[in-house]
Amino acid sequence: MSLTEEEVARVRRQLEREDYYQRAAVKKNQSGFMRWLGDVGLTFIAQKIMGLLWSAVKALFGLSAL
Amino acid sequence: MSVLRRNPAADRKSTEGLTEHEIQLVKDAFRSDFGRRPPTIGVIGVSGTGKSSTINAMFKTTLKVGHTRACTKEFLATDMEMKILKGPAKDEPVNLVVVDAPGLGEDISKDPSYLEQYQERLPDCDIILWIMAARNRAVSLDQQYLRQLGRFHERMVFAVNQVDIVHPMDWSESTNLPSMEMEDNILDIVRDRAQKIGEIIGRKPLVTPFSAARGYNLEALFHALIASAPETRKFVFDLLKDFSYEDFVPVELTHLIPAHAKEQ
Repeated sequence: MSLTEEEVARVRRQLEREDYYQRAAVKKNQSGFMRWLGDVGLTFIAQKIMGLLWSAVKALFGLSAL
Repeated sequence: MSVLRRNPAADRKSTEGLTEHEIQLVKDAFRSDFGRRPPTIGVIGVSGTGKSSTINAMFKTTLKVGHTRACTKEFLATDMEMKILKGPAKDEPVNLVVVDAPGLGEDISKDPSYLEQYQERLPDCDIILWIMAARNRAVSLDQQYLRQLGRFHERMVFAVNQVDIVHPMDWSESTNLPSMEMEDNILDIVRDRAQKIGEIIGRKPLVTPFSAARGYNLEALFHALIASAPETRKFVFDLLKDFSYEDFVPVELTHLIPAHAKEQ
């Protein structure tokens, strides 16, 4: 069943909204993870990850790229 | 399976820039910290609002769902053995604890006991989710319970479930979205609930409409939950999150998924 243009537009908007929230949650988690590393005494790892520009965080926990 | 979770690079044994020893230190700290204090979600809502269905939808857990009567009338703190889903820490075991009173609102004689137990358990919860049902306009019970749980108001996330059965119940199967008329009614319901909750907690809260059954707005709800969790404990919920909005997109419409999401 083909959709009208309006229906397609509604679906796109909803998907963009859901995608935005998904990426925003990941961003919050990244900063929280860094703080956690500091709390558990792994500040040196947190600093190293900062130097690596998040690539190690993303790889370590499979967090999506932003 | 969400394409978002397919990240083969993250499964490599060595993580770029971190030594194996450093990765092991992170895993050991994770096991120790979250073993001692497992991630905990408190779910509050009268019987039938879909509390268990919501948790099951977000984390693929198997909490019992009662369609006609509450599965149990006992206050529950369910300890679920789970595994980290992503990255090199994948498969690390962690327990997810869900605190719930499935029978809340069903038996007036038991409610005081449930509320007392919530008072005891909610301080240990990382996340407190209050769920209401979209089609239940009588929220006076919610208001009464809210009044008694005043010290937790600031941390609560409020949501309205089952929006897929809002009048006129013409949910679009082809788009997995509410009709325009449903959407307007959902907005009205959200405004109404926000006002009624606001009368109790002294501020107008964000109320997230969603459908656990349809996967509608689950990402918005999950984001709200993450935002409310303690800063250093948010990330573990993302490691246990077992859904993506892409899972609920009708197959014929997957080409409308934002391009960068498909590149993962």
